[in-house]
Amino acid sequence: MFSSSYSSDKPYIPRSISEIWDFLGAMMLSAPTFKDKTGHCPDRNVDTEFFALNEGLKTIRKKVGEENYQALVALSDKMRAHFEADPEDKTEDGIKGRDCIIEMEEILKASARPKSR
Amino acid sequence: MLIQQIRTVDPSYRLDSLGFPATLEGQTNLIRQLRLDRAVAFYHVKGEARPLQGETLRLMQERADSAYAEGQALFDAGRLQPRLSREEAIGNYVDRAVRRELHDLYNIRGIDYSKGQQIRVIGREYDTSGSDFTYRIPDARVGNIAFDVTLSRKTLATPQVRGFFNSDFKPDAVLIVRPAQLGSNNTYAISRPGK
Repeated sequence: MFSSSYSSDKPYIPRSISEIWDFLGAMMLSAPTFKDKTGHCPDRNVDTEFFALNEGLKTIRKKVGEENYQALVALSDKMRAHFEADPEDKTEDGIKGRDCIIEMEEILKASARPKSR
Repeated sequence: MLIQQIRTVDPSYRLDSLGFPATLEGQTNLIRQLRLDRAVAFYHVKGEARPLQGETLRLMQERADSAYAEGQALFDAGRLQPRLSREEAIGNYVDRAVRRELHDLYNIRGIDYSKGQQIRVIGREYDTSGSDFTYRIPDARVGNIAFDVTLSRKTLATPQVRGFFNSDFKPDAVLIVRPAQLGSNNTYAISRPGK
């Protein structure tokens, strides 16, 4: 293990709908272990990933509204449970976890759409 | 050698390590981190974006390749819902995975990529030359280079690419980053017309 004077000990937290959108897209591919493939973030795992996602959701709480925020948090928790139940991505849980991502994407898309008057 | 190069630019640079890594993977990661630190040193201390352009390209290529492989495997195993065509579905996730990696990378190294900076990840790049302002959103911008992750081949004739060149930051080149699995010349640069 090594770190340098340029390394930050602050984890990356997505901070907008667009960043959470990308974050979920990456989760779709790297689930259920979320292991980093580039070597830049060797410590990435289920805990760090869901910490970042849930903290990121807090940053858009006002923007998406309370009802949507609560739905997103519930889906995030459900997704984690599914992925943890299928660490080798071989059962229905892996698919159900990804279904949660798709449901979250739908909520984000609807929230980002301009409101009709 | 890399550490020496970094300290030449930034004498205060410090590396904390538990010794030289024993495994090949650990050694590769260390070299990767040091190359990135060298690029960050040039950017922060000297304001030179060129080394960071190289490291950004390297990371985007690595992640595009791994994300494409992951996407193909998941799609073929029926674990990605086919709401779009195979290539569209995989391409969509590859783009997003690469951008997420960039956010993470810049965040870890304390590189500001907010509005108005030389470094941007899906930032709007405006063209204010006409009476109606327009904008394009490259996947990334580092200094005077725009980066676009895509599965399809793009050329100067592609409206999106022309839009990048017309934006106010006037990029010298647009780098088209495509997964290596797509064959030779997968990734290439389109120079600014007339340069």
